[in-house]
Amino acid sequence: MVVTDAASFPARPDSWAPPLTPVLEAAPSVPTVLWSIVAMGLVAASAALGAAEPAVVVRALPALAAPAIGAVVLTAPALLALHQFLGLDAAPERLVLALSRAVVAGGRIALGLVPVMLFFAATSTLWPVALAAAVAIPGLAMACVALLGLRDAETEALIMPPRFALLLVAWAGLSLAIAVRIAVSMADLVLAGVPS
Amino acid sequence: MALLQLTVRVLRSPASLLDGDGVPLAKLAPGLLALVVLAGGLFGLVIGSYRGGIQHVFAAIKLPGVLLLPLLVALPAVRALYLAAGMPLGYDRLALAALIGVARASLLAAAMGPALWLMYSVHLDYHVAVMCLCGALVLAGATGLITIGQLLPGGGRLRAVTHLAALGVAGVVFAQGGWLLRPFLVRPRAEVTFVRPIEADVFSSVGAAWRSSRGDYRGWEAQSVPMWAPEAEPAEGSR
Amino acid sequence: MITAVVTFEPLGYALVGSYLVVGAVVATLLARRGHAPAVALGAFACWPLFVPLLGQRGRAPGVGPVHDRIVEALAALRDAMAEPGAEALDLPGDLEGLVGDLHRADERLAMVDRLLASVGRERATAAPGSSAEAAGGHANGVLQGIDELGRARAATLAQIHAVLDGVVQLRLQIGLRSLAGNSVPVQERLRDLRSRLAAIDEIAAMELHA
Repeated sequence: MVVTDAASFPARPDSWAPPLTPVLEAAPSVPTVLWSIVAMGLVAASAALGAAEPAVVVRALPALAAPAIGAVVLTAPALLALHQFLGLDAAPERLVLALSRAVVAGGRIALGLVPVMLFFAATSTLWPVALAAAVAIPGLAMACVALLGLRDAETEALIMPPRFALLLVAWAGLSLAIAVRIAVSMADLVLAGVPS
Repeated sequence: MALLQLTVRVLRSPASLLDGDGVPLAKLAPGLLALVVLAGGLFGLVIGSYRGGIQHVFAAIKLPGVLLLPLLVALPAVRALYLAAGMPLGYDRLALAALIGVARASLLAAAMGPALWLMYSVHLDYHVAVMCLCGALVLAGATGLITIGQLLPGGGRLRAVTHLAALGVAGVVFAQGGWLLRPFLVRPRAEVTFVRPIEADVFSSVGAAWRSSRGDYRGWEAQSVPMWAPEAEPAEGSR
Repeated sequence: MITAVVTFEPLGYALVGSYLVVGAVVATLLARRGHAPAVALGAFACWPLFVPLLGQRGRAPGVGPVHDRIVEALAALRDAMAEPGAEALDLPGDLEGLVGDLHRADERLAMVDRLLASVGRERATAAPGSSAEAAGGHANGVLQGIDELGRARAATLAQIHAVLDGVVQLRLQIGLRSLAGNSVPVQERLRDLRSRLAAIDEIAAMELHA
């Protein structure tokens, strides 16, 4: 979590005022982020095992990580650009950090859901529902963590500026719409060939 | 630690089990598992008494499994949810807290056993018997969940939402586990089996029950036969 | 409409088989790391709960020299607390803490005894090929180490006995409390005993530097 209060700034011996450059906590490493993306594919593949068709499992592995990751990748540049355009306070690095932490949190939740999905794949015929849950739950958790992290990143103001609140709402809405759009395409891809 | 002493602490002061440095998982987990098996088995025995005979044994064996299944399947997901909410929660602490909660719920369920047995012994209507069973499980389960919530460390954000999400994941697994290992109460004319063949899922059953409560008695199998495998047998509707 | 053919049985068997195999592996690893058989048995059936223990070592076998006295003293204290006259006394957390502290201190003594015994055996079967001068220097260092450890052990043992004497006094205070009422500070006395146990390290260190 990004430290947001004045204690996160290194003390200057000659002044009570914080330095201009805030201290950032360590960002997740690239392998950690990549593992998180793989985990999102794994949870989808676990749910797809219920279809008992190897082709569905193989297609689900990469395809169902796409909605959450695609939404973040496609909307992050727009978020950064608008954030700077609106003259808001947080450094762009903080925003990127918040987004990368959200991806890691989503991946961790996806990995935790693997046993649950395997359980349902083995004991029920609910694999399409499980597939949807495997995409939706980590995605929603990612969105929550990202929104909290982005809000924390805006440290300078005691009250969140209305512009930033508007930006967050717009970004969340756009991300959701893009994620749903990608999910529909990916669902078509994954379920292709499954008798209907 | 003697099992009786552990029982007293689980019921009187579960938080004291987590006092001190470190998480005493190795010390407590075997005893807690034994408590769940014994108390859950006792409660299962009472449930089995509704039908009697071999169903006593079947229910006593299966009920601890139903109680433990959410812990075995859903714990990693629950921990990931809490970590995402910023709560510093070790897996060992979560496992122990969950075990203590389930043990407490099992003990309370077992304590309700005699009253339940008394009701079952007077040939209660099947649906009333199911409702009594559900009531006992809800009471004991709510106590167990509150205990788990109290044993988790503080901190984090969106705690209420995280608790609800964790409850949702564990609850869905619990429901499917119960469905998978059914029957527990067996209808008077239904065949007694250890487990029924896997057919559909708990949500289909709930949907069928909802439809039948509105006067639509087709049952889930009537609507679902084209969807599911032809070898799927009609549900007995017992639980 | 999606057809969901019921073909999960092979998957179910594969998952159950994998679960049992992993359970057997985890149970074996825990048993090899010194965990109790009950832990290994529990891990075989419910290994997802026991996975965190894979990174921990089990308890050292054996009990220390004051184990029996600790058990007796604490059993007597529990009996005293279970008397009807002491029912308003609510000390489970403190008492369990004291029990844990005493047994840990006893285990540490047991470990020291094992170390001393092991070093003694090694000295008895020391390699005869080493030079006399080097052997003499090493021997002096080892003797000094044994002496220091022995003194620290004696100080710790005396402290544990003092705490156990305090437990006897605590029982008497519980009796006094039943007659004189809440003015007798039983809980404070119990916490004093825990503090004395917590100070064992310092006492052993003072003994070494005396």
